[in-house]
Amino acid sequence: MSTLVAATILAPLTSAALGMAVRRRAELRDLATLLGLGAAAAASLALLFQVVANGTHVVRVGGWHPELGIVLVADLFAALVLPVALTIIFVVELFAIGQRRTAWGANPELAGPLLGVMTAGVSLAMLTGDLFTLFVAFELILVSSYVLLTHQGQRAQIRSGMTYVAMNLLASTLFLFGLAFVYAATGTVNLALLTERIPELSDGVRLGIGAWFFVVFGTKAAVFPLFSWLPDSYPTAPTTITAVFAGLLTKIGIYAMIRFHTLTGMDRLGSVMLVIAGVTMVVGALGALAQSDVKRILSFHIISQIGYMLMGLGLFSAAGTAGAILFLVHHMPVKTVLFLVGGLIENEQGTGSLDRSAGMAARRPLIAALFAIPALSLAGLPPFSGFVAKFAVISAGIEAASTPVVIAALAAGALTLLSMAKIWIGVFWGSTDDADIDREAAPGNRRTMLAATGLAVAGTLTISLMAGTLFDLSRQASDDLRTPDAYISAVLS
Amino acid sequence: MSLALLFIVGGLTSVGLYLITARSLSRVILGFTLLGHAAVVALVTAGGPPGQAPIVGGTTSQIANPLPQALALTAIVISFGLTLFLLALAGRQQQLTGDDMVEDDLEDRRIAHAGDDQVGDSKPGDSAHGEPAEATTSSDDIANAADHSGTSRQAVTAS
Amino acid sequence: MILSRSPIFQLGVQSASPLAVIVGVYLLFAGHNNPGGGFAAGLVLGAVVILRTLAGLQKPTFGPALITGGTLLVVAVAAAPILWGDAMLDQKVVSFDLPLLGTVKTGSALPFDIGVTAIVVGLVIALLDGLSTSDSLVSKGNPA
Repeated sequence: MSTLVAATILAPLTSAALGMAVRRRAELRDLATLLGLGAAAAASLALLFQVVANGTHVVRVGGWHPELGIVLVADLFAALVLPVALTIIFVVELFAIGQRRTAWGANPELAGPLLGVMTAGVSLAMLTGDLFTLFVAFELILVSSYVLLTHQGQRAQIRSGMTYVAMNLLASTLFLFGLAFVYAATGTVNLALLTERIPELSDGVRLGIGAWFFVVFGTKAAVFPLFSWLPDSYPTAPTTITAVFAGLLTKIGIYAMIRFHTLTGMDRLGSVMLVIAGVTMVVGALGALAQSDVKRILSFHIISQIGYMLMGLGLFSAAGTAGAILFLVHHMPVKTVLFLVGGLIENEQGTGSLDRSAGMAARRPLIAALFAIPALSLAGLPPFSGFVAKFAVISAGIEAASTPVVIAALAAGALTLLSMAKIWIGVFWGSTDDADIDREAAPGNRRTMLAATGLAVAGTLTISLMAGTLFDLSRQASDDLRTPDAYISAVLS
Repeated sequence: MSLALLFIVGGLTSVGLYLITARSLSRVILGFTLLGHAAVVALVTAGGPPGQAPIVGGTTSQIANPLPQALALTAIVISFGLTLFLLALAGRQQQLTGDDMVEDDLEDRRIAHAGDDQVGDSKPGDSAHGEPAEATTSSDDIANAADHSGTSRQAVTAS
Repeated sequence: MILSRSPIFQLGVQSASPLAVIVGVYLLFAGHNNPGGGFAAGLVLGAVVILRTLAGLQKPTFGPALITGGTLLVVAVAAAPILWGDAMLDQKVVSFDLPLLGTVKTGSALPFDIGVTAIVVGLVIALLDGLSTSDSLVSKGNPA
C-alpha cells in the first residue's frame, strides 16, 4: 500500500523526466507520458479499493515523526477523489496527442512533461497530511499551470496569464503568512495535530485562522469576489490545457477547504460560506449567460459550480459535506469533458464563437451526443450524475433549513440549463451550408480525440451508474472528516 | 517574539503590497519578491525565540526551533523559481508590446465601450493597444487570429 | 542584446568562474552537516552559467538534460528505500576512511542533493534559453 501511495507521486514525475529527455521524438515521449500518467491513475484506483477494504493508510516519509516530518495520509476522502483527478489527466493527455498538429493544441514537447509534474502535484496535494506540504504541492501544480497557460507566448495569453499568475501568487504568499500564523498559534503544521490543537485556541484566533485560509483556498477555488482571474485566463489557453485546469485546479482549492475547515471544525464560518456560495452560484451562471463563446460560457460555469460545493461545505452537516464530496467527484470529469467537446467544436469549425457556427448536429451527430450527455449532467437533469450530486447538496440545504441558499442553487441550476441550451442552439442547430466554416480546419487526429472524449463521457456515465455506491462512500468520507478521531490516531500512532 | 522582526515583516509587506498595485510589471515582480521575503521572515518569527544553531550541539532548551527554518528555506526556493518565471513573462510582454505595462482588460474595455457606437471597438486606431486590429497582422498564427477575431466579433454583438 | 562586451568583465568572469565552481561544489558536499546544500550549490553554479553567458564566453544548451537527470536521480533516491521495505525517502548514512581526506561521512542525501543541484542549474539554463531564443518568436507574433 505504501508502494501505491508512492507510485501516484513518483510515477508521473519519472514520466515527466523521461518525456523531457526524449521530447523531440514524439512516439517515445507520448508513450512515456501515457505510461506514467496511466500508472499513477491505476495506482490511485487500487489505493481506493485498498482504503475501502482496510481503512486509512499513513506513510511517514523518511520515517520521521509526524510532528517533524512529512506524512502522506490516504484516507477515504483522498482515495475517493484522487482516481477521478488522475484519470482526467490521463484522458486529456490522450486527447492532446490526437490534437497535436492543430493550432489549438499545446506544444507537446512541453505539455507532456508538465502534465506529469502537475499530476505529481495533484497526488501530493490530496495525500499530504500537513499544511506546508500542501503549500508545496499547490506550487508544483501552479508553476506547471503558469507555464502551460503562457508557453505559446501569444499576446492574449500573456495578458491574461499575468492576471492569473499575480492572483495565484498573491494567494500563495497569503498561504505562507497563514502558515506562519498557524505555527505561531499551535506549534505545528501537521493536520492531525492541528485537528487536536485548533479547537483549544481562543475563538478569535481560531476564526481568524479559518477566515484567512478561506480567503487563500477561496482564491484558488475562484469563489465570488475572487474569481476575476478565471474567465479571463482559461479560454485563452489551448483546449487540452483548459480542460485540465477546468477539471482540476479550482477543485484542488475546494478539496483543501473541505479538508481543512471540516477537520478543524470551523462551523462558525458556515453562514459566511453559505452567503458567498449563493452569490458565487448566481453570479457565475449569470456571467455564463452573457457570453457568446463556448469556452467562455463553460469557464463561467466553473465558478457557478464551485458555489454548490461551497454550499455543501458551508452547511457543516454530515449530509452537506457528503454532498460537497459527491459534487466534487461528479463535477471534475463532467467539466473536463465539456471542454474537450468545446475543443472538438473548435477543431471542426475553426471557431468556438456561437455566432459563427451552426449545424453541427446534422454534420457531426457524434459530437452532438458527446456534448449533450455531460451538458445535461452539468445542468443537473436526471438520470445523470449531476442530478444525484445536486440533489444531495440541495436536500442537505433543505434539511438544514437554509432556504435562501437553496433558492439560489435552484435558480443557478435553471440558468445553467438555459446557457447549455444557448450553446446547443448556437452550435448544433441551424443550417449546415455556412460559407464561413472552413472545412479544412480539422488537421488533428480526429479518431484519437473522439476516442478520448468518448472515454471520458463513458467515465461520467459510469459515475452516474455508480451514484449510489459513491454516495455511500462520500457519506462515509464526510463522517471520517467530521469526527476525526480515527484520522488522528491513524496519523499519530 | 522580536519586535524588530515584526516591524520588518510589516514594512516589507506594506512596501510589497504597494508595489504589486503598480502597472509596471518590473515593480510588480519586485513587490512579489518583497512579499515573499516578508512571509519568510514571518515564518521564522513564528518559530519562537532565537537560540543556538539547531541540530549541531546545544541542548533542546538552548537551540532555536529548526522546523520553521526548514519551511522558510523551502519557501525561498519556491519564490526563487517563481521570480525567474515572472521575469521571463515580463520579458515576453516587453517583446510583444514594447513596454512592461499591464494591458487593459479586454472585457472591461468592452463594457466601457458598450454605450458607444458599434464600430468604436473595431476601428484600428481606436485604442492604444488596439487588440482587435492585431487579428489581421498575425494571420500566420491561426489560433491567435481565431481568438482575436472571435473576441472582436463578440465586441460587436455585445455593444 | 549586448553589442560590445567589456573586456574587463569578460576577463574577470573568466578568471573567477573556476573559483566559483569550487565554492559551489564545496557547498554541495558540505550541505549535509554545515550551511550549504543542493539548492545553494545550484544557485552558485547557476550564477556562474549566467555570468559566463552574459560575458559571451559560452552558450549552454544542456539545460533539459540536467533537469531530466536531476529529476530521475531525485526520484530514484526517493523510491529506492521502498524496495527494501523502508519508508519513501528514508536515509542511509555511511562513513568510511579515505587516504588524505580521513573519515568521510556521507549518505543517500548526497545523490539527492546532486539531483537538486542539477535541476536548479538546468532551470537557470532553460530560463536563459527562453529569454534569448524568444527573439525569434517576435517575428511570428506581432511587431509592437
